[in-house]
Amino acid sequence: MKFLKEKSFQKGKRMNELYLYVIEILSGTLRMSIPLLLAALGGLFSERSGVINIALEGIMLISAFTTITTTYFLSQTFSYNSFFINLAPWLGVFSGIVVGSLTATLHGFISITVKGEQIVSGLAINILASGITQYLCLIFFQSSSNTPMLSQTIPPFSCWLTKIPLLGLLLFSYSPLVYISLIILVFSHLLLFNTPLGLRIRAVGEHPQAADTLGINVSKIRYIAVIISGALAGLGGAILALESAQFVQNMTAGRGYIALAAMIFGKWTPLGSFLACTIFGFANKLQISIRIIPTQFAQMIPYLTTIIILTGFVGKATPPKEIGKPYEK
Amino acid sequence: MKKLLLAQIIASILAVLCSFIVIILFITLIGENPLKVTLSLWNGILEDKDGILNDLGYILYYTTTLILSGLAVAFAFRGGLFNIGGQGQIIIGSFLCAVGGFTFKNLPSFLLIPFSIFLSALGGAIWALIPGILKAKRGSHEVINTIMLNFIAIAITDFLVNNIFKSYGQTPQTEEIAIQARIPRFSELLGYFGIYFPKSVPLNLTFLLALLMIWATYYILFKTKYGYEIRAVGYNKDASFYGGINVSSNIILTMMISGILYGLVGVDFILGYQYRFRQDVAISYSATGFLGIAVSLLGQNHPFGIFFSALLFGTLSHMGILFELNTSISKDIILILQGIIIIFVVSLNEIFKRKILSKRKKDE
Repeated sequence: MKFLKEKSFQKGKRMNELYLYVIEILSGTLRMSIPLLLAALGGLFSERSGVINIALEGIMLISAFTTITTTYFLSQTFSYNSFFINLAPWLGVFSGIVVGSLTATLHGFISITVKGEQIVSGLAINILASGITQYLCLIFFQSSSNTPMLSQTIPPFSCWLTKIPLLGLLLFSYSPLVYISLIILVFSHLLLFNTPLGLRIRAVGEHPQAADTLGINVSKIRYIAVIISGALAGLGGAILALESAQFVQNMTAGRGYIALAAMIFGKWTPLGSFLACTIFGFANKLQISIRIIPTQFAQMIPYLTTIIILTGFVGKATPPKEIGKPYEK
Repeated sequence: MKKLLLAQIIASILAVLCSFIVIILFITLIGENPLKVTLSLWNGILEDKDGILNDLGYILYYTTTLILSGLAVAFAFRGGLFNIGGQGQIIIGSFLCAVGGFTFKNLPSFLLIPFSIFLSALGGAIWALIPGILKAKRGSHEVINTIMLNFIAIAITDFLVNNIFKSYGQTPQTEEIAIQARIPRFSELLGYFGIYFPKSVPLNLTFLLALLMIWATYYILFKTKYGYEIRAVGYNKDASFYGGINVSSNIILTMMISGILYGLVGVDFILGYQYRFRQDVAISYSATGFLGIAVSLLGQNHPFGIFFSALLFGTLSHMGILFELNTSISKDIILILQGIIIIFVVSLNEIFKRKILSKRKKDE
């Protein structure tokens, strides 16, 4: 009798471990897909309005750096006040969003007003971002490869909701930023497909001439879309940085480009991009968690996934019609 | 047509000047005095043991790989493609080159060196063919694919060097290539003629290979049918298709040649400098791949322009090291300068082009 009890106890323990493991993978997937999701949404707004935004990678990087730096210095300055210490990471995120928007404005200026080659402009910003962040990191923190770890970031929720068996941990244990991002996802869909602004953004990307004859200011709409994309990518970079609580040289590691692939896979829709980002988030999670294969092959997982997905288990992926072409009256 | 060419040259020169102004502003912003910085740089150059020859040698050494990278990007640009996979293609090309160098130790020099060069080109070509084929057959974005392959190349060589081809000890490097596979340095070559050239400068005969490639690219692009088709596809894919050009195979050909040019960068490092493949060093020197983008744009995507552009960037790279040694500014400022130059080139190109086109319209 005691032996049977022992066996079922062991089985219960193993089930519990397995359950926790699955929860960890699933929640890790969601956490890793959030920065990608935000960047993909950013790319979405920009490309729907007709502006190719390769600069997502650079914007995420600059924003990540700005977030960490602002949070660090704010918490240093206000270390005596615990309210401010809790507020600091939020202000850091805000500063990341602002810087992201500004960087995107530069890209918008080159693409929309100067009408230069959009892909090249994006690449230039990525190179600039890499150089500026390394350089400023060296100046502010005396090390060009990483900043010191933040002692205080935005902590995840851990209230009674997480104690709900089965689903509690899975649904309620994330940081508030994750929930905000999911709300932004819903808002993006509503904005793009259910508001006049969204309609104008899409119109400007498909047929700017028609939009122009209707009195829509094509440049203004495109600028708005690009700035939104910068803000979203900035938020993504901020969240990425706060996850690791420090800034590491080139920490985005290609996420901006992966986000673009997710956007293409998602057929330029917010919900489709979310689905794609979940897949890539899973790939990212595998990259750090998998033990069976050598580390170098594990590192390749997200990148291989991107290539395979782009190869076209996608069906016909048609971008907005007038994408990449500057508009002239 | 001549006016457009002149406009492009002026745009490039103006871009460099504007970038310098921005950098000077940047230096002032971070609290350094630009004049003092220039003076300490100048002193750094003068104080060198071998003086001008040392600097000239290093500048030409950097220029070699920049020429090849710039040509690779330019070739792809002309075909309407963006080859951002330079880093990966250089790494794979270097790796294959090194493997050839130490595997076929029995071959004599005049066979082994061309074979290694061929392997280097092959490595780059293969790595560029993958995104090329994917773009041609599936239409997938070559920008994303090439960048993904960069990361994959780093991971693959990491694995191969650490697990299969490892030499002794902790450093992630392969064994040395055969002695007869080494390409002579300028110091040896000029030494034959009794001319002194500092031994420590890694400038080697690959420089001549790079110059050869400039001429070859010019010839292929502007004087052959294949080049014509490639450029046609670059200008307008649909029109070329309707004109009877096989767009798909042209895309593949363009990426392959672009990859070959990038792969040749490996020759400079493996056969002319390092004499072995070291994974951690490879990651840093393959960053030349990205510099190729700036070089190509500044050179207006033309082989001859690229020569001068590469020379400028080579000088900047050398100055970067001087910056690091002689002033308190780190060499990352060169990265920033690159980005700014690209931005100015793109903007000024467009502005000038539109001015000329609108003027032409007025004249008609």
